[in-house]
Amino acid sequence: MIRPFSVSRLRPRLVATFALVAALTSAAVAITSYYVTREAVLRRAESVARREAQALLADAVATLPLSPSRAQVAQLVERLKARARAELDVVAVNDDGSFETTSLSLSADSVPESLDGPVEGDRIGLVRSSAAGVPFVVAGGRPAGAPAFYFFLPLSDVEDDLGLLRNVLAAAGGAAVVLSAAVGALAARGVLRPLRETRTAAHRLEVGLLGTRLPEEGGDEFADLGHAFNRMAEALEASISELRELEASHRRFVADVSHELRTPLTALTTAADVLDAHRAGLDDAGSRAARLLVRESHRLATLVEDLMEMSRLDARAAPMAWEPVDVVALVSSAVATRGWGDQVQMASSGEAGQTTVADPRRLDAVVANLVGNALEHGRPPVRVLVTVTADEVIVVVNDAGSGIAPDHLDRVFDRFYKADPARPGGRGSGLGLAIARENARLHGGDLTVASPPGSGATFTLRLPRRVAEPLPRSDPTVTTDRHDRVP
Amino acid sequence: MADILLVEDDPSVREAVCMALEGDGHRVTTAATGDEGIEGWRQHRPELVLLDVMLPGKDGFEVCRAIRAHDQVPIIMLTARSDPIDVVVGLESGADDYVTKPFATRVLLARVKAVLRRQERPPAEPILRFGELVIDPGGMAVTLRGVDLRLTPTELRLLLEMARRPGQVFTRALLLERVWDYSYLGDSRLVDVCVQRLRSKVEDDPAHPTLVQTVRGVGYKLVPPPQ
Repeated sequence: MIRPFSVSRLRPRLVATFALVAALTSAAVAITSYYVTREAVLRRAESVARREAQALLADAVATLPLSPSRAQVAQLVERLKARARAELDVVAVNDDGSFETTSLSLSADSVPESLDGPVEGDRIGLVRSSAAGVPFVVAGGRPAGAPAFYFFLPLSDVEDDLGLLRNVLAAAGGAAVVLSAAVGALAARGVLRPLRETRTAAHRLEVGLLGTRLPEEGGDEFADLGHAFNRMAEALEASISELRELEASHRRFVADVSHELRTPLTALTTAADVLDAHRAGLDDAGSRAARLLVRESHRLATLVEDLMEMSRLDARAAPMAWEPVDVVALVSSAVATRGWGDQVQMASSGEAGQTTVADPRRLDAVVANLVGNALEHGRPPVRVLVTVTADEVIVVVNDAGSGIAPDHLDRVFDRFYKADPARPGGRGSGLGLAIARENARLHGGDLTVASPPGSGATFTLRLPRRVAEPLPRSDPTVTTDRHDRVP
Repeated sequence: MADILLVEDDPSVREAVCMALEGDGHRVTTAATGDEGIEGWRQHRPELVLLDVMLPGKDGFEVCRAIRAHDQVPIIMLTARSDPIDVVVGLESGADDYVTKPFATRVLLARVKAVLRRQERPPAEPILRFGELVIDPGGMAVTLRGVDLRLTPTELRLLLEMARRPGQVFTRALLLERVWDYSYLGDSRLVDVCVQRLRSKVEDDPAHPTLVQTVRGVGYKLVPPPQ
């Protein structure tokens, strides 16, 4: 199971960084260019105002009589406004404080104070100001013997243009931020894709797909990473295949040896059985020797059979013969056919006649091994409990012996493991529990052991229950289970 | 107490098995190779053949097929259990049963006894007819459209077991017990392969059997043809 790839850190970090850089850069550019442009535009407006003021003042001086009447001044301001080449308004302030204006919104009070004093003679005063909420460049002068003239050049157009510029710059900046964020996301993907590929490849190696490799195109760091990864995978593949070959050849050797042992063993066990049949005609020593020969040759045969079975299980070449099996009946038959009925207490819970699909011969072998072990190494009574639930089959075998020491407990399934080396080996091959556990696993289940202090060992076989089509129940002669006929 | 032909290449196994069989009262002829085995069968016409699989020259399967081409004599294969395929191939070439090496003598003798028992004529029973198939239990003969099908004793017992209760489903375990005398955990492949062989003889189209039908997950039943 591949955990979801954690992009939550790298991707947003990259996107945020790109957006921040774009925001700072475009803000700096926008602010600078705005103020530079604004200054330039205002200066041009000022120089227009200065030129107009000079020309109009000269005109005023030339046309105005000495000590003009207010009507004359009023007439003049209207004429000056009309003659100006730029749109402007004129305010004339007489010495007595009275004034004439071309705009109702402008008066003597509209004249900025800074222009009042210093503007004398031919000099032109110039100042930026605002009157009645409108920004103006105000230029003015006070020719000798004439009222002071102030020319109000409105900056509302200029301000409109600057406002537009501000909006454009802000929009461009916003676009730049969005664009950089997108570029950041793309860059993140470019970085994350090789990372994700590497991670997927590592996972494939983990589950055993040893041929997995990464692309090594290009000359960037990812190609480098791919190269290093691939070298690691190659080394891994080589050493694992070497190990597997070694293991396979060991397995073949064990299988071959067992196979070769079989023919002489057949002769040996058969001859021993013949000798055993004639034991009555032998003297005491001969008879004892014959009995020994029979017992040991059969033990050897069991060992060879278990070795072969183990190497088949190792090679995963053990065929399963699935059949519907009545587990309760199978367990009691496994005990009864081996003549253990008197020494074993059987119990079952759940409905009788419940079947599961299993390999009956393998199941029989597991039960026989567990009960046989309990009888040999434990102490009676040996109890067997079979539980069949809706989705599980559990067989518990428990004895009243002294149990298994904790440090031996997890090793009892090891091959040829003997809990007590000093004790003479039993009838078993030393492979019985290892085979039993493999058989349990072939069924998709498991075999476990527990030995609480003060009580005997308890082996628990758990198999997932596979429900088959029910056996026909209509005809009792058919449904008679084979196990009922065991002698 | 029967005449038995033992075909086995290993001299020690041959001698030991020969002793065991003779100890049980049988008369034994031996052969060491496949060709000798076929020759021995031709000369002695034994009542039972014990046949090793691994033989120099012709192997056990070939010998089995060669004998089966002419004779319905019971054959028990002696196989190596490491090769599960051996069992199926052996049964398909016509063997009635098999014993794996190394075997306990009592197991071998029990198998021999069971196979020989199948040859005994059952007590007189009425003749059974299924369409054009006629089963004569007393005469141990099965004919289809008047032609003798030459069933082996095992095939005949299997057919008879199912024919006595047409329409009833037989589990493999039950057939193993009734036909092969396996009281506990026999190999269900014995039944499956023998059913195949039986079908190839009694069915018009063995790939689509109508008489001996499979009941999925349970076993087999014999379905009489519509009248």
